[in-house]
Amino acid sequence: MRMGISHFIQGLNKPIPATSLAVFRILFGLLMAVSMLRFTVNGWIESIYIDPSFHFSYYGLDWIKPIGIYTYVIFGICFISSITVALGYRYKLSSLVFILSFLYIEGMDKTTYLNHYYFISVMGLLLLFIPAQRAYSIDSLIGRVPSNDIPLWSLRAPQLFVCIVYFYAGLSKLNSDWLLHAQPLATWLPGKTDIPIIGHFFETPWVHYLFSWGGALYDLSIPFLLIFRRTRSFAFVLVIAFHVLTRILFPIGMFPYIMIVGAMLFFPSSSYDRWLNQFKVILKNNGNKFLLKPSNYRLNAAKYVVAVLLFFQMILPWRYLYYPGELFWTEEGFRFSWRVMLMEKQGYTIFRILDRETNKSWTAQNSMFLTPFQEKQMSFQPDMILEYVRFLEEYYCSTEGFENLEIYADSFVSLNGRPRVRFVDPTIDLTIQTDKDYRIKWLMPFNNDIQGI
Amino acid sequence: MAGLLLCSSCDTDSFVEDTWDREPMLEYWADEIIIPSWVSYSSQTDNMVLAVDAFSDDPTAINYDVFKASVLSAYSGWQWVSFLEIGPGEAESARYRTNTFPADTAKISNAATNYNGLNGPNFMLPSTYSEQGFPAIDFLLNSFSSSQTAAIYFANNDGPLLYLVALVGELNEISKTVLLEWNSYRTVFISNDGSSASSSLNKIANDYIFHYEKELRAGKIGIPAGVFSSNTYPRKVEAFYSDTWSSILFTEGLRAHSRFFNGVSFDSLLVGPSFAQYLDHLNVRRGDTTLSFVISDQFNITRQTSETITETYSTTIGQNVFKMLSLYDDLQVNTINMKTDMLQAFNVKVDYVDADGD
Repeated sequence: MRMGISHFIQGLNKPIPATSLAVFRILFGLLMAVSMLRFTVNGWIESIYIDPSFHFSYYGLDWIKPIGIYTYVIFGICFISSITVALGYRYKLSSLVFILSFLYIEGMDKTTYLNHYYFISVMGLLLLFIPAQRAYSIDSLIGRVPSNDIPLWSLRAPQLFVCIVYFYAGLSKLNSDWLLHAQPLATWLPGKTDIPIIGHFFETPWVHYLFSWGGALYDLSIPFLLIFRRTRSFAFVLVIAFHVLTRILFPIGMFPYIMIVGAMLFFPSSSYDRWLNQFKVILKNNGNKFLLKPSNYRLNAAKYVVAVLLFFQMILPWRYLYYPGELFWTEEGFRFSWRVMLMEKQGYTIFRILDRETNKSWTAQNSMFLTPFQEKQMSFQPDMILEYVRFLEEYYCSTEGFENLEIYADSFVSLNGRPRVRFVDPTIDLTIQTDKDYRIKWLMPFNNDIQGI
Repeated sequence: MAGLLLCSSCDTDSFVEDTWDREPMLEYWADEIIIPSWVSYSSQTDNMVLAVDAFSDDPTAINYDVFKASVLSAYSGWQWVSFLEIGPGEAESARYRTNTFPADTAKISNAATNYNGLNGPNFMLPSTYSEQGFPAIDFLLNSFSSSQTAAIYFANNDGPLLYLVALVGELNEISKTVLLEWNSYRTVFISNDGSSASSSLNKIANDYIFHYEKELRAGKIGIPAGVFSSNTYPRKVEAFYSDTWSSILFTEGLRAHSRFFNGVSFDSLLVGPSFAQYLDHLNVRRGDTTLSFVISDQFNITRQTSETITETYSTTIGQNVFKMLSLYDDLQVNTINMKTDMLQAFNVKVDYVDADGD
């Protein structure tokens, strides 16, 4: 057994050609650059980060805020570092700048949290620790990197991460809403009847079930189909078909392309070298063929960082088990766990503010403080509700001189096609609730049963 | 495959159901509701122009009464197009320029006193929204104890009289421009039958609910009744300077919303595709009944509550604010019905942003 493990670890250090990882690095960098441009062109830097007067922060990260017009500079930095990552120019610095600027952008307001931004964040962190610049890069061209080879683990790590994402996304679909009621697809698809040819089928129940079961099956099986050589090409065709379909059906931005590029990690370097050879004249490898030295301690340390990162990826999605109450209702442990396209929640939440001393009471006008997008997201996400309550309390205390305000929510949520019901307990003063309290303490009980993961 | 197995209970003859076609719905809305509403409103502003011209030529009490009646009728007609701003109306900032209230009386007095037809404010500027439109007309026209005193005042004050003429002309101009634009926008509106955030259905649904929530519920009732503040603001009601207009205008607005929800044509002769029918097509049920019935019924309940308010709105707020608050509560019920249940069924998002999801 001990032999087996040490053999396995030895095997992870085995040098392999660097092309697959390099191809991924180039395409990932380019996609990120396009993403940044897209954000700018669509005016989202303005509407999401600069315009709002209030921002929803991640726990403990409220020092990360948009910095007015200079927010554009952060996007600019992220854009340039994406390009230099793609080029493999001063790769270590570039990947560091990329991930720092990207994390800053994502940290500015959690209203915009999306699983695929989280995917990019983790992948960006991985790229910081793996030598993805050893082939087809400026660094290798000018001889700044020692070798064309990479240790096996540095390819396995991003591959494993892609597998984790798919597999956990599949696992999270194994619940009664998804499998037995075809929700939320049964809510989403009937709105898509305008799509040519297939749109005609989207009000038909069996199609909702077909898509639900097919989606779960796809997510659970695609990692294995990609791993095995004999099924790999078939898997890649599936990946493209699946993600193109989701692109047509849902507004999910760059995500399909990112996952298609992720699947390309599974093809061996030789399959890329064949047609990349034409470019060899320009991007000629430097020809140093050192074997990796065991004394390469930096890379060795990186290996363990990567291992810890991946380990957390496997643990984090299960943290919801620790919290009482229905996950879809409380959303405690919902983020960072590959619960993708899993839930349709529409909410309406307003706040009644009461000053006991004067017995004055009024309702806050959310539109005074929040953009429609922020209001929509806040209306069904408990942590955002509490954060907003704290803001309202501070606002009315400081502008109108109140000292001890109580704030109550009139909140209604409709989940996965169910009739809307009250979400927050209207009798509970939210100003005395903290993030440390379990959310079931101040949410109404969820009087439905969702079985499964 | 698994889907097919699970579907053993489905109707065999409905293997593929008839899908809801948005294009005929949009066409019906354009031809039977939106355009006729604008046509009607525009001709009401024509009448207003005739009446104000007659009054300025000959400022008598009779002409004053005729003009005032034409204003009320146009102001009522406005309630039927206010939430149908999509496209041309939005481009003209029609709602801001027509009905931003409360009016800024200091600005209006200032602008009107020495107005000679040329030295007025630039009505296109957002900073002048609160000194134009119906609220400004209401202030200038309705601050008199009798038609007689009004006629005498205007006979001796050219500035305010000319300012009224300009305000009316402006409203007429806006309505004509919007109506003209609909000639070409109609095709755009109908063919934009997709499901993105910028599709016609999404925009109409968003505009409709936004208007219901912000204008009908908050603007006309909630804000003056002090729902959003620690004090009441009776002077913030719509048409504060008139006696009975506030409740008339509210009733018109509520009817317009209710009839659009149910797909009643402008001439009342047809019932066509609507939010209600679409909900029924999607088979959205609430208990023993349908969501469309629940919402429609709530419109009726709201109307009945509004009928219990017999005094003017500003008086009611001063003397019996609870009547106004219970009207607000009734309006609030449908806000929730529409923003949660209805929008979820339509798969329409309320953020007005073409943002990514995942």
